[in-house]
Amino acid sequence: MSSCEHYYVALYEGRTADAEAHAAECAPCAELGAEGRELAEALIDARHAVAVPGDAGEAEAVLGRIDAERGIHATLRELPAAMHGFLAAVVVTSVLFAVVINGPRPDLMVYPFGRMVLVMGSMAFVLAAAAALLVRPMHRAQLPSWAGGAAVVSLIALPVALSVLPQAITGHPHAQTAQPVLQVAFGCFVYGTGAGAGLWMLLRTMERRDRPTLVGGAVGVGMLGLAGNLALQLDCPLTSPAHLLLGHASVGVVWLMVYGVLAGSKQVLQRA
Amino acid sequence: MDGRTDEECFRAYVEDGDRAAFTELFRRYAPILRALMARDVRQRPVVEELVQDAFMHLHRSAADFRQGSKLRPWLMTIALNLRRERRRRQIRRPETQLELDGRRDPAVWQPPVLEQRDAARRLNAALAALPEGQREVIELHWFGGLSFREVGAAVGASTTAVKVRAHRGYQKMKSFLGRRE
Repeated sequence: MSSCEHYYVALYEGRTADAEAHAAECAPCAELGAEGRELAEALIDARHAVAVPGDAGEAEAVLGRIDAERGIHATLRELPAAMHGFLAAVVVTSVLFAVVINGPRPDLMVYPFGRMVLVMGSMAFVLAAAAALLVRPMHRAQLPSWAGGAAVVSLIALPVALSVLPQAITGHPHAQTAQPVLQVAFGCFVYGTGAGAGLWMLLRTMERRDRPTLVGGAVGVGMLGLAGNLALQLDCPLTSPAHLLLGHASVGVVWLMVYGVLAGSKQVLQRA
Repeated sequence: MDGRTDEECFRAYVEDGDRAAFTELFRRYAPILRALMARDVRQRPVVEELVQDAFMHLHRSAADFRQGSKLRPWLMTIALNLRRERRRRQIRRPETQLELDGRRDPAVWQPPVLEQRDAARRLNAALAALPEGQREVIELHWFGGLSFREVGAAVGASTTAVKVRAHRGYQKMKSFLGRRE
């Protein structure tokens, strides 16, 4: 029993020197014991009110829901939260490894090392922070409500900000193309979407909630975009800001807009 | 009545699939969780759904439960987070009560007889008037049975910060109760 609990007993049964000593150091207890004892009495009474125990039939209903959970979805969501983070990292690393094995960007050997570290490092950092937020289990204190919004903004804004930096390489023969800008950008958009889709599907499958929160869903979509951008950074040699914005940064932006429209429509339909 | 501790029951359920142990945990905690949810939600089916969801999350996060951990703060934190998420959803999509020939929706939560007693009703009104942060601390401490240190872990604040919230909350509740007399 904590000292506070001792004090509550003392309020009921008569104050002792120990209880008074505790109240001298504990502001809430001192407040409870001060003038206006009605609150202390009401709280103590409410705590001791006899509650009806949970019904065994209701417990069976929950056990029935648990029994109905089968397959890969149930297996993945019941893994420890740390394993969720590890699996997300494995998926992203595997995609990057596959990109490199399949043939990395042709200018990789001449691409400025510092710039590569900046781009890959900042993306990996934001991705890891977003993953930590998304796989945070329900039995831990929630982060402040702004954290989810900040994660979504970071996931979208980082590729945009990196796109508008001065071009890393201008003279390399692969740094430009004769094909139409939009056509090339669309190819990169599809490639980036494919590269990030695996991570998004894994995150959705590992989700322990039956319905992800709106912000949680947006973070997942933003992570798809950023994981796609990581893969594109290792694959695509085009370095013009216009291409990076239209073909790379657009992956997260477009899918987030699609998600927003779908989530908004769902809410409208539910209201109707 | 099962003589095992909460943690022993939970381990028996997780390790041996002991359904009776799970049922015992439900018997102990469903009323506490129901009361916690019902302070925020008036639709009885929603309250029941949230209580069930809390136990579903307990099951799904069993692999995270470590030796030496306490079950009560775990379950209360899950319940608190579920309630907060539901409130955020409600802010975006407000719920309206059914009107049935001018009568109240029968699904609307009817407080148990004990809660209808005047003192308890006034206490609930005083609690409802508090800011969310102060209300959560007092609810978890008094009705969730958590120490201030455990409440701090549940809401992501230091023990000192939690005590300050409780202190301010008590002051406001006293003032509220004083005004109503």
